[in-house]
Amino acid sequence: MHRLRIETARDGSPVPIIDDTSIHSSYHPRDEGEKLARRFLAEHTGCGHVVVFGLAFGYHVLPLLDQVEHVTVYEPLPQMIEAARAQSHLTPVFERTTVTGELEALPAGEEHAVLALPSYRRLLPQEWSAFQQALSARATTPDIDLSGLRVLIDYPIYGGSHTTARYAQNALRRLGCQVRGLDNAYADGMLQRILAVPDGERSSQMSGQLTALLSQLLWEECVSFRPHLILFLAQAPVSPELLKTLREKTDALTAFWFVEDYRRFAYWRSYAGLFDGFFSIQTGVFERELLTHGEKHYAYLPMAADESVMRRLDLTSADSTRFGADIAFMGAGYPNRRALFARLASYDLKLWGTGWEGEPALTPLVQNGGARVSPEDTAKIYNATKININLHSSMNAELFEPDGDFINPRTFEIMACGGFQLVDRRHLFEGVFVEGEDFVCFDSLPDLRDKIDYYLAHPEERERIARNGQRKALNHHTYTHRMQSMLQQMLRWHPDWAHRLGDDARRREAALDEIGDPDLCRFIMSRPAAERDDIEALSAAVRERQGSLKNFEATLMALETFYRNE
Amino acid sequence: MERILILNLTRMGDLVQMLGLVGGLRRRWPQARIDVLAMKAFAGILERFPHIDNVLTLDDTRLVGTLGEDMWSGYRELKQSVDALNATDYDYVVSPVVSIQAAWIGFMLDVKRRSGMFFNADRQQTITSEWTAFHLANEHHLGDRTFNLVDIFARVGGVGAKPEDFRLEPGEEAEAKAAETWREHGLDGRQVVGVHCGASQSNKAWEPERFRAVIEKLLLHPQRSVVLFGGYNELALTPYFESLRHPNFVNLIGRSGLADLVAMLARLDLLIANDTGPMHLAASMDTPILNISLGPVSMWETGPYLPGAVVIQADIPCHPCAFDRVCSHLDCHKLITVEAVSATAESMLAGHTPEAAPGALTWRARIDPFGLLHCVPVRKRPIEARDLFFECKRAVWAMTLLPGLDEKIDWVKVFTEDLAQHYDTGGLDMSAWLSMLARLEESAGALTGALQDLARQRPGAKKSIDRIHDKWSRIKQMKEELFALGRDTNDCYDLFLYARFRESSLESDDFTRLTRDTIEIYAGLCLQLQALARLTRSYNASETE
Repeated sequence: MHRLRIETARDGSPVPIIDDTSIHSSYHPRDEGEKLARRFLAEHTGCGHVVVFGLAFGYHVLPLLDQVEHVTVYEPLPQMIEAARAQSHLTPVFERTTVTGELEALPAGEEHAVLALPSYRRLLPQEWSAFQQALSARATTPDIDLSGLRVLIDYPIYGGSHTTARYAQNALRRLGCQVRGLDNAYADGMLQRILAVPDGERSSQMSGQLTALLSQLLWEECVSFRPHLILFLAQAPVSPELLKTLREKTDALTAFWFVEDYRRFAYWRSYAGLFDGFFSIQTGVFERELLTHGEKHYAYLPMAADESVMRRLDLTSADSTRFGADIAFMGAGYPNRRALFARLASYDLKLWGTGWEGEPALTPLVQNGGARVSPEDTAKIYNATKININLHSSMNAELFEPDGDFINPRTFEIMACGGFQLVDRRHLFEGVFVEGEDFVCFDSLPDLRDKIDYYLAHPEERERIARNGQRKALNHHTYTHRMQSMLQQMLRWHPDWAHRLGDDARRREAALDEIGDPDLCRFIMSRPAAERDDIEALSAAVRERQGSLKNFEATLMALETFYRNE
Repeated sequence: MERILILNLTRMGDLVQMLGLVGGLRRRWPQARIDVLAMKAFAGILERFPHIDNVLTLDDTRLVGTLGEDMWSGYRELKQSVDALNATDYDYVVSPVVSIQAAWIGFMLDVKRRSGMFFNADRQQTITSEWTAFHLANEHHLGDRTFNLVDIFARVGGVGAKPEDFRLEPGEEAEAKAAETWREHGLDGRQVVGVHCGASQSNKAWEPERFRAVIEKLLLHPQRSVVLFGGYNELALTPYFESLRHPNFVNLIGRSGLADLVAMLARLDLLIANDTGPMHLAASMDTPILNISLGPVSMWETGPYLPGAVVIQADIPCHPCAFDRVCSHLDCHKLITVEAVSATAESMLAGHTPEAAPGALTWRARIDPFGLLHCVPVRKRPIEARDLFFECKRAVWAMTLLPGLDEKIDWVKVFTEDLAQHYDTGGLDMSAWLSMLARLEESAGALTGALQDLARQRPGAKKSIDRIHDKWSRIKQMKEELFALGRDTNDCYDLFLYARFRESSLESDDFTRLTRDTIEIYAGLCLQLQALARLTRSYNASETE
């Protein structure tokens, strides 16, 4: 609960203070509000509807009243709405705008601009995130035929986001898109050799050359596949030069899903502003940093679970024995985790994953000699374990990172498997998950111990929470949901993209009309939409056909030989 | 025959090899319209062909499309091209090169007569020329003594090639430009040797340092000039020759178009080259050639189609190698010395028969008694048993495939007498091959007998049908065993593949006819094996003594 009090600014205007932070300028709040509004209006000329995040005492809203036709103001703090109503200078705001504390009351179905009160974004990041998500969900997007959408995914060479790329590819396929993945894992051997070069400068130079080469290969893939969208996962090898070329020479949009900690991996600075959409698992400060680096199209897009892998399983008794335990953790042995689990060693505890070596207290608990665990076995662990402990990683040995600003994929994966988890608290949970219903949070080691003991003794409650969590995860937090959100967001940022997506179908129809071969038309229309312009898929289909060979089939097969340069 | 279309969608080398086919078609049908469909990128050379009436092209950059375009523009382009061909109403389509692209396009052409490999309505590849079946079968034995592509392509078209067919016409403009180039560099009245050191693959290209050394030796002759040729790809070799400053050395790498090159090659007294397109161009201009044959090149198949041309290759068992082989030693390059190439060139320029180069094999191209291009040693020498076996098999192939061989002539005698002029054939132990042939003959004979027995069955009572089923199953098994034997013995496997390709192309609704044709094919295989055994036996030392 936030503490609210009201003080008087230097110019005599009332100013709300939340948790000892002044929401407006403590000197000239009216001037500050006017400047903010003026700058906003200059950047959004002609906008008919503005949605404001944060009412506070409305100094930024008042200048909008005579300039904008419709204004909706969302105020997340009920006590602020109450306090604002008591301010006489805000009477025009309440009379001429829609002030609401309900996310469901946000406008739907039209284009609008968003003005966020900067102090609110800083102070209330989880409310800001919930606001953004609600707004996204309520916006309609132009209809696009996803079956005609070609997406190329550029995989990283190695690392956790390699798996994420695979999940994204699966999800886009499930949405009906035509997807091709460019898996750069084959370059890992070369990269490791380069990284082992003692001369750091030379090593860095060669890494750049490798990236340039892989970028060229990506370009070749673009030439043959003609994607509408290229999705880059974190650490995908792509040069800034190629991104510029893609923007200049193709109609493809580029999206970047940065699924890492921006503080630990700073290379994003070189890429900010070069993508047509930048998605991240962190919000708040990172968003501001991106803005200062020229990134205009940013959206929060958290991790998720792949429902085809992370699911409830019927385990054999052998698997139950092998993978089961009272409590378990599956993941890398970061310092805070080592410290925590060393203090839980008295429990029936299994540790899975890599990076646990060198800790004698933990050695007997580490399974499979600390080998990497496949996603399929991970799902078994989550299913078989009574209580999955989910501690977000930290590089220092302090157990918890109270300001942690991302949700790890494990959170979603345990839920999707129908597993029960105790997870360290994250502010991003607010508005998205319900503690005690979807999972249970802990805030300290004693808290964790108490909850372990409690939930071990209450299996029926564990099961109830696990099932709720699974329902929540499968209904809202799969990679299919994420990819859908991403595509919708890209359409909102680039509304002309929807029109371009229809060009393929129009060209094909015109070509079929001109060619005038009814057998060809019938054949093409019998194929899935994603294959109708794909010579490889069409010729594969021809190979499967029987009966007397027709001319259109021979034409397709001949054309394919030219594509394959035979 | 009024309108003939040749489908050749390959690169420049194979297009040039088609000269014999075009000349043969023109001789056979002097009034016919002869058109060629080729890829636009390589079709320029066809402008220099005599006897072609129209050069039609497919532009693969338009078929495949560019970024931002879809496959439908390419589909339309291809369909329009095929529709235009059908509108011409060709009587005869020849596809001399085995090409899947041509096979699909050929299916779509509405012609009564077609020769080559095409797809049929049953979606199968069908081979309508015995020479195409031979060519495919012979791929198995690349490097062994076979026929030149010029002859093969012509024979696919049902005609024979003659050296006089193998001529290009540079055109007046190119000839004038060549004359000017000669004047500019003071080459008039001098002996001019051309050198082309490029090739499409590095393993086919003799080292540029060695070429340079040969050039330096050739330049010792005061009345002689040396001209270095090359295209865009050879520009990378320029550094090897930059320091070669001699008044009689002219470097023309990257400085001539195709027509100009043809005209200049015609003016040479000798061209020294790897297996490369310009070498074939020079052959087409009757320019004497010294060809260095390396790596995967089979000089039997792609050597210069020019009687009198000389080919040097390393005497090494791994040559020729497979096209995709990555070689760690390149011994076939090293065994051909600068001294050998220089000495051979000097002999040729002086009009003498070259000596055999040590460590290398030196060949002379000629037209054999069958009318086909063949290579023989420049100097008579002993022949090894294996090479003799393959000469015998080549003769059997010629006797199998050439239509209209005069039956009054004893071709076996012709062959043996001809061979004796070029090789010492005494004292050879051919017993291993004879034993192999005996096994193959027995197996092939059994299969043919079983097929003949099947043909005699009359289906009627249930008992007969069961018997036919049993016999057919047995025939299938015998065929598998025969082919396994052929594969294992290897040296005759091409004969088996030829039979198989021919069998797979049989088309008929009439089961009796199909059976009869199949019997004929395997009976033909038996005859080939018998003929080969007879020929081979005639050289076996224990039987000739």
